[in-house]
Amino acid sequence: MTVDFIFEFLSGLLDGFISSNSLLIISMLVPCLAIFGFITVYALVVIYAELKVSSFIQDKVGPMGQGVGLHAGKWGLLQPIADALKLLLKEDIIPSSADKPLFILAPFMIFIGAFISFIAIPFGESIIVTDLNIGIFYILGVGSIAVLSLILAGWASNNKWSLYGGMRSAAQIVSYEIPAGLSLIVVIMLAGTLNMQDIIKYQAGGIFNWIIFDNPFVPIAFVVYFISAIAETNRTPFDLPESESELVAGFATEYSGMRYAFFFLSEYANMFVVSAVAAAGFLGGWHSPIQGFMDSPAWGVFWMINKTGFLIFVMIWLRWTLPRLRVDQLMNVCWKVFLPLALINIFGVAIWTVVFNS
Amino acid sequence: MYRDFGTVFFAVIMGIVMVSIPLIISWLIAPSNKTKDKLDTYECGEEAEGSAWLQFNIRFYIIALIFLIFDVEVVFLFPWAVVFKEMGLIALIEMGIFLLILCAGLAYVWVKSDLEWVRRRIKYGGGRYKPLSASSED
Amino acid sequence: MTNLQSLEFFIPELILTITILAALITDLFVKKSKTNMIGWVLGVGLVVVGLSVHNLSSAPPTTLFLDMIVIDPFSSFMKIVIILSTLLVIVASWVNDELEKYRKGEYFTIMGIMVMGLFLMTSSVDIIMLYISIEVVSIMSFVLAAYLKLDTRSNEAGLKYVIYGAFSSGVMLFGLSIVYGLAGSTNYFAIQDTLSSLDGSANPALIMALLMIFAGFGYKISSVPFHFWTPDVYEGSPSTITAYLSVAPKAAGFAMIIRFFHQVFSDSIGLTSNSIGSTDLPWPEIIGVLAVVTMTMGNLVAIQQKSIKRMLAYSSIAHAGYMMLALPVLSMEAVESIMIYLFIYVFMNLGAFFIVIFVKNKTGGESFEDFEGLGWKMPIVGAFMTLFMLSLTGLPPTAGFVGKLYIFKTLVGAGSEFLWLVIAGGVNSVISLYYYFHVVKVMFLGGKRSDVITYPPSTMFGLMIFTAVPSLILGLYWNPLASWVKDSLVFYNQVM
Repeated sequence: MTVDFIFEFLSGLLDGFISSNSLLIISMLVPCLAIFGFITVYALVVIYAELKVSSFIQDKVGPMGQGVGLHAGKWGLLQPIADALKLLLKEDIIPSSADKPLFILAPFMIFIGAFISFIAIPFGESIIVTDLNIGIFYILGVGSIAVLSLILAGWASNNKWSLYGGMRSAAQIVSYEIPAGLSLIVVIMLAGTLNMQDIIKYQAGGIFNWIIFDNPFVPIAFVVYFISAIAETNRTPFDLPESESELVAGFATEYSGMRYAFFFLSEYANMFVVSAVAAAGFLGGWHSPIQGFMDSPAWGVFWMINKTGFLIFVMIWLRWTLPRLRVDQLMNVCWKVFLPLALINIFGVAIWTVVFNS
Repeated sequence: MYRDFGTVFFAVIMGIVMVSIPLIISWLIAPSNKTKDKLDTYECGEEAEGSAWLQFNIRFYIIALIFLIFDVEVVFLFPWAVVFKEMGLIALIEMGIFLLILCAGLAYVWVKSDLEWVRRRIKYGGGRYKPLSASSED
Repeated sequence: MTNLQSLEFFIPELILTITILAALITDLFVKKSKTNMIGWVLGVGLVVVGLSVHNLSSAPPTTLFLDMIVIDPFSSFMKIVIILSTLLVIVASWVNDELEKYRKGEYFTIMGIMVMGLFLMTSSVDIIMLYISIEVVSIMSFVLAAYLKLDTRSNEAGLKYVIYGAFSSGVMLFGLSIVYGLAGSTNYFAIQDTLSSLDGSANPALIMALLMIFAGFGYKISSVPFHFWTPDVYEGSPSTITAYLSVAPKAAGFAMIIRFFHQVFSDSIGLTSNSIGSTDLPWPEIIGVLAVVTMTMGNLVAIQQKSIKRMLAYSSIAHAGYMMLALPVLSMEAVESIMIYLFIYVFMNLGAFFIVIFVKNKTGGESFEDFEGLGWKMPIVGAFMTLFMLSLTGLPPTAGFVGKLYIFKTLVGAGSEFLWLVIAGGVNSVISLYYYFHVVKVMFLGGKRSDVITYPPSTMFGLMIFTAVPSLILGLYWNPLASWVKDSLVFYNQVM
């Protein structure tokens, strides 16, 4: 585990200089810093990817730096950095009628919710910040902090668009949490543990040992989970909380500058989290699809990032392919399709396991 | 255990710091030229009309209530799922009963059309001041 | 007993759960005009539950679910009382015109859930279980009280009930938490064990806790000064629910109080030490005063009522007072007399309410004017009402007399320090005579005479017969009841 590893390493290095308590704190802070760095880099990459993928899907070239000014670098590579700088330089406005403390609190909460989910995500066999024994449960739990902050943002802005957006997002995220949770139950039933690393270790030995191929019900669970996860991250086709054409920008209407950037960043961070959970829970995590082929711990990171990245790509793909749902369709799909489906899935997997695996 | 959740605690603190630093940088380098119009609530360019802290649709509360029931259900399922493989058939029967009861609940809210976002049939009343006619509810 | 072993003794409740689910699901498939069917489902289920309760009543007393609840003959008796009253109310709900506008599926289902809560109330020996069961009953009562959702008064009743209920259960929970803090356990027997060995330093906390707990108990049985919800809730609720609330939760409430005080604060004989734990407060006197105030208040205010339903609400407060008279003694005889009184009270009070429902169906009102000339228009109903009024007053040869007789006998037998309670009870009976006979007077002497005689419809008539016969017979021949109650006087008692 990373914290222990860093602690050992540092105490070997700095033995006698610093007390072990402060060493422990340092060894806890270092991975957090690393995670933050990872989120920043990942966000820049995925924003660029989003721009490019959307452009290609729409038969355009997207941001390009060709020409006199070369203003966005080669192939527009500097575009996300320019975006970030622009957000940093924007004037920060808090409307005079807003509830100021809550208005300030909301971006903090949504980012922290996304940030601390990363703590329990396994990147490799030994690369995980803390290997919590309730890892998957923790990620689900921490993930719901987003609802709270979206309601906060919507309510504190004292803007009708924000309020509608906030309430819609609350209803939506909260509803889709149930099919998502029920689908993950299937994973836990098969793996028999809540620990992320143990779930991944259960899937060792090639592609057919992955949980998604365990029995015919799990692929359904995977699809239900993945769609619910997209809904939970508020992405098109489920982006009703911020649907531009009806609610301006939903809960983020009154936010500008860096505060807005954090909502943005958290959305991308949440995308990573839900995709990583899907990759770890259903797609074998850091295991190689073929046993023995590129199956060392170092390649583990490669597989994990790639599987997650592929799922993120699917999310982007869906965003630029499908139109937005209506609110009642959204709720119908959740409560009348996914929830019964997820429940049937649990029964199916349970019966299958009892009949065939005992 | 302490180390695990201690890390989570430090992650929260780091999160606060990580959000604060860009905000401070932005506060230092971004222009600040506040005017009354800028600080006004955005309502598509019109003058803001009243406060936004008003009543909203009761559906949100109903969704929240239904969510609460099923979320508790999911939470109960987690420990069961962990021991499911060891216990086998007994676990299946026990949780089957539990889930069937909840399915009855789901069927109930479904039939009572509490899952519809838009209620096409107005069941009770049919207009704010109109007394219930015997046939409007079925 | 462990959880799995307990299931065998928990069969009544399990059957009840299945019944509730069946009722809920049946409701989804029937048309509005056919929702009486759910009453059938619940009724049949309750009969089966009653049989299995009866089956278990001979089992040796034991605790279930790791000392959460007990089964003993006492709880079986109370459960059967509850089932009887529920069955009667279900039948009455079929013919109550107030409910015609609404679907009754949820009504019956909620009633079933309430029975579940009442069952747990009668048998819990753990303060957490106690609180949960009280909450189950309370929340279901709130919904039932507000069931006429197009009627403002019913909504008012539900809302008032919620506010009073939330407040008193909050106070009670606070008291229970103090008891837990003193005893370090939520189990009755462990609490008794610890409290009896406490020295005087904890007295203020104990007194506070007991007063707070009594707020919750008092609210359930509507004793003064926690009775304020009663008249408004009783008046606004559907009449069948009023009848139900005045009987079943009261029975369970008394069962709960008896069990709590009997098993936490007394040895097997009664509150002999004249004080609870090591506190110096004279608890028997305090409860006695509360009882006297309760019945006097109920009776005096009942005199001034214009509506018979409201009058019966106050009279139910007064009857709670009569039953509380025996609480200060809390010997086995006292418990016996309360049980006999409760059993009789179920029939006479439900009977009176059924006639109010019937009259409301006929005339659309429930005030004294609506009863004018009833004795001439519907002699049978008038005669039944007279019988119930006699019984509620406690005049021989009706069953109410026997109930009062047992209570007074206990008090006289318990010694001269309880004699003032007997006198107060006697005086109150005389006061109550006035307003009960006011009804009779109005029925036979008021209004115009009519040559057309109407008879009640058969269901209503059956209900009246079913409540009137015990109200009369038990006044003449109460030996079976007395011996049944005597057999049921077995508590589970654990020696720590």
